[in-house]
Amino acid sequence: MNKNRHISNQAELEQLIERYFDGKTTVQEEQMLRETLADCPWSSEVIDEARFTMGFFAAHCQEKARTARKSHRRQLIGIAASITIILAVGIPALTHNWFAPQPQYIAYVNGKVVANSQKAVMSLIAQDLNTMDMATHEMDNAIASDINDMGDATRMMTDELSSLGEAIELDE
Amino acid sequence: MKRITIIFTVMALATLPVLAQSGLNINSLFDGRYKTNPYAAEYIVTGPAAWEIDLEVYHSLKVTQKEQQDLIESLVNKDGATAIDKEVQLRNGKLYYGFYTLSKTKKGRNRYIFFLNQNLAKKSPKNMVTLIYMEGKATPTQIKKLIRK
Repeated sequence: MNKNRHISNQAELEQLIERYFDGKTTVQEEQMLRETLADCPWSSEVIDEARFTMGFFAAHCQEKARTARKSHRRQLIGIAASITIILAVGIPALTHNWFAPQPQYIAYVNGKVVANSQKAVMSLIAQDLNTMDMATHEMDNAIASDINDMGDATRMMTDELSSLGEAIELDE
Repeated sequence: MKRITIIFTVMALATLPVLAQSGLNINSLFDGRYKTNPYAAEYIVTGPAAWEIDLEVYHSLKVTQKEQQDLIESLVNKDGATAIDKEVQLRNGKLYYGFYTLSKTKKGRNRYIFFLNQNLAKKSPKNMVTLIYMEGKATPTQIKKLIRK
C-alpha cells in the first residue's frame, strides 16, 4: 500500500484491520491504521476490537514511555541531588576549613578529663607556658652567667699578660 | 547508590591528607595513650581558642614516669635533629630544655616543639617532663612573646 494513501471508507478500513491481524501489514500501513482508528467516526465489531487492541497497545507504549521518562527524571533528580550535596558540603568545607580538626579544648590529668571548656583549658595552658617561661629565663640566666664567667676569665688572662709584660719591661 | 558511594569515597579520600601524620616522631605520642594514663597530663586545643594565639594546634604532655620521660626525650631528639632552628641545653648529658622550629607543613604552617625536663632544673627541680607541640601561623618571635606573657 502507498505510504501516503488515506483510508476513504469503512470497508477499506476493515480490510486493513484483517490484514493487520493476519500480520500482513507494513509498518507504514500499521501507522496509517493507527491514525485512522484514532480519528475515524466508523464503528463496527472489527473496528472496535482493533481500536481496543491498538489502543491498549498504544496505552502500553505510553506506559513504557512514561516509565522511561520517570526513570530519566529519576536520573536527573539523582544527578541534581548529587550536585546539591557536593555544593552544600564542598563550598562550606572549602570556605570554613571543615576538614581541619574539629575545635577541641580538653585537658586530661591523671587519666581523667579535668577540663573541657575553653577557659579552663586555656588556664592550664597558661600554667604550661609559665613553666616554659621560667625555664627560658633560667636558661637565659645560665647563658648570661656562662658569658660572664668567660668575660671574667678573659679579664684575668689579660691582667696576667699585662703583669707579665710589665715585669719583662722592668727586667730590661 | 553507586554514585553516592563514589561521592563519599572521594570525600573520605579528601580528608586523608589532613588526618595523616605530619611526619614527626613525636606524633606517635599523641595517639591518646596519655589520656588514660594516671601519671600524665595531656592538653589539646584546636580551633578558635588556638586561633586567638595564631595557632591551629596546641598539644602538650606532662609525664612523671621515667620510661615515658625517656621515650619523649628520645623522640624529641630525633625531631630536633631535623629542626631548622633550635635552642637546646643539655645537663648531665640529658636534654634539659629544647625549643625547636621545624620545617613548615604542606599548608605553610609553622611548627614548634618545646621540651623541658624539670628533673634537671637547678632551681626547685621537679619530677616532670613537659612536651609542647604548636602549629600555626605564629612566628618564633610570637611564640616567645606568648610564653613571656
